[in-house]
Amino acid sequence: MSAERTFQQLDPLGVLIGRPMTYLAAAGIPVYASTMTWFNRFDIDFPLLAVAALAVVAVTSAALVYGSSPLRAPFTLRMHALVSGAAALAYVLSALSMWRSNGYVRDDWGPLVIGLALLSLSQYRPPKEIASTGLALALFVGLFTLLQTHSFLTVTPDIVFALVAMLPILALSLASAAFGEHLINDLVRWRRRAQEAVSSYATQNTGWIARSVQQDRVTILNQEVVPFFAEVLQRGIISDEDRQRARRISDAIRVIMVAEVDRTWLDSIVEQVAGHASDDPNRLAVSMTMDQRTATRAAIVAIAQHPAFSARAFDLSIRAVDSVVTISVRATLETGDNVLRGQIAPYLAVIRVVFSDVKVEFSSPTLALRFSYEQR
Amino acid sequence: MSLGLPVHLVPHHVRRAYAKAAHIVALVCILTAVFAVIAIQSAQTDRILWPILIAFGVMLAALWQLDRHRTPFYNAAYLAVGGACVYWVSVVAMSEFPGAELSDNFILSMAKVALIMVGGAGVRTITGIAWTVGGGLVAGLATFIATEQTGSTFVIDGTAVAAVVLFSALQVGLTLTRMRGPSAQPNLHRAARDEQLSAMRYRIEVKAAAIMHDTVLNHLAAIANAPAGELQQSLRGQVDRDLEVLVGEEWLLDADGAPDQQAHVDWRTSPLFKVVDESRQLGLEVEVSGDLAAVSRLGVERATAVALATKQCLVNVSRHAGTDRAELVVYGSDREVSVMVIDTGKGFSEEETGSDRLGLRQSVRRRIENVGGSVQVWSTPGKGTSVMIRVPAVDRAGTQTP
Repeated sequence: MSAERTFQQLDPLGVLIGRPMTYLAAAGIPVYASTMTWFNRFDIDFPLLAVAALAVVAVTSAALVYGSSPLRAPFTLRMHALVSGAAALAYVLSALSMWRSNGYVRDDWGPLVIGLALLSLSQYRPPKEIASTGLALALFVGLFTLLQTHSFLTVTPDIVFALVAMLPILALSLASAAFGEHLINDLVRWRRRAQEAVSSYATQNTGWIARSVQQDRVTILNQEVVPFFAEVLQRGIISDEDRQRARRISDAIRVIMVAEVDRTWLDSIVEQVAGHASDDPNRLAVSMTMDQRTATRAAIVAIAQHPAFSARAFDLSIRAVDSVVTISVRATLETGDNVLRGQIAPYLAVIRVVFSDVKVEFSSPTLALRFSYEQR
Repeated sequence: MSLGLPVHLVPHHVRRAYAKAAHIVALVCILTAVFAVIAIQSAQTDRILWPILIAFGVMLAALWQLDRHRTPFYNAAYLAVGGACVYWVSVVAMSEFPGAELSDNFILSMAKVALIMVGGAGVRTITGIAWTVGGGLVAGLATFIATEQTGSTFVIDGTAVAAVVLFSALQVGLTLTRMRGPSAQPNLHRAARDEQLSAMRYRIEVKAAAIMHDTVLNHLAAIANAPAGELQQSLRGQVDRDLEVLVGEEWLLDADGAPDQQAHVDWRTSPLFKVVDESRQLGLEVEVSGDLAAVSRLGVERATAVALATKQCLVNVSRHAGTDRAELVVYGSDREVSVMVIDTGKGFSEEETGSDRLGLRQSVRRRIENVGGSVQVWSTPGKGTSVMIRVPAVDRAGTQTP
């Protein structure tokens, strides 16, 4: 999947905890539109259109809530189009409902609803996209306002009416883009520093890792190779038995070494949590990016740390069909609770962002998780 | 990328982002008001509205400074300068439209909202809200003084009040949601760190496997294939060295921990030259050609990896190719160095090289891939083998190309 430059893609967990703001906006927008409709009730020529406008506002809010759900992350361009499109349609319906009697542009709720909807998208969509949508919709609303000047009571150039209508959309969409852009830039900058710290942490630990790996090898060598070499050196003569023994030791070491270098990072994790290796005959785990590895590792550890986790019934397999690699995880969690809404949920949100085609099912006690990525 | 900001940094970043967004709203308000003034002035030439533009110009300059320096001083300065501008705009508008209830006029409202969007300094939400309300109060006061001076009627500005309420609520909301610490975030950070360690361990394991292959396994094979009888002096020396190094020294630490400080090695002292020299001593005729100086553009780690991989290729030629001649060609470009080992021996199919597959796989392919390079093998049974080893070069600044 192609990662977009959105705050949600970069920090799915941060967006998850910021989500109540989306709920607030989704609740506030219809309340505001209804209140303003009530205040402007004497300007309404076509009540049916006014009601339809409010219904479409409700659709805008519902789309915001639906699209921002962590179970459907990431928030797609299509959902953005639905939210913005519904807000724009609500504006048009509202303007049409007051076509003959709308006295003032300033108390029209349509432009502010569009602006608030775009403000709510700041964490979910790329800043440039939000700004472009804001500019396009502001232009549209400005032009649409010029068609309504016949009913306005204030004496001023028509262009001023258009500016008044465009302002909330321009201000809030650009603010939304600026907010998102600032958070993204800060995060990217911090992450670069964090990455350096992590790399330097790994480098600092090179010593003990190297010693530990060497110790493992020396243990293997001490079992047969060292005594054998010492004997051969001491005797200074090679017998037929030595030659056979050399071949046998060599074969045994090769088998161990092939197994060790074939073991992937994922094998090590699965071994830790379940006591057996992953089912990955083609070593596809090595083709995952560092982000995908991090997300997978964190999710597996989170599942394994669940109090109801059963190590014996954990399986992970990786298979590729053409260039698409699919990871299937099956775990047993002996609990009646819906684990998808519990402590594992944040990790699944992260998985959704770094992998595509994520499917999660929990039918107690079996948790089935499947996700894919395109092999580079 | 899945790593988010640590919890303790979030409020700071969110406040800064909020201030940026608030300043954008202020900018849009001022610019819209400017366009509106220009439009009205153009249509109603008998009125003198252009002095309002001066006030907005000053406000824009103050906003620009505020955006660059988010300190209490600049916030206070913005409110002071902005308050004076709102007063100026109010006086001009009210003088030009005497008798009209102008204090909530669109242009005045925009000036006030721009002041409310001061953004604030510091990290605390309460401080941020205080700045927002302060902006509203200064704007209201400036308009009130102007109405008193011009004899106009003061009206509460619904737009300005709504802006104070909306943006105060926004700040409270941002704080409340961000206060809920993400328990999963530290685990993700831990996973990222573990992943780095795991990758580091894997690299060292691959290196260990290649070294083991080049030493112990090669010498076990030499013993297995040696004629029965007295141990050859050269083999004795190699086995002796194996025991000394592998058991007694920190061979992995040396191999991995060596930073690329000696970035440039010259051909005669390069590891590749030593390998070629050793192979020649063992009876293999190695013809070397190409841009030999290019090997000086390999860092220590890559130069060693290329040399050891080449050594394995040459060992394969003497053992399996059925020929005692090999050609080694070095190519160099700004970005990479390539070493090609060519023989006209028996050839092979890479898939059919035995179940252990360790020689070509570990000592050549994985070792080179481990330092960011690639290996291509062309072999036709009966016609010979060419192995192309390509690794990124060190650039002129001395850093390795990833």
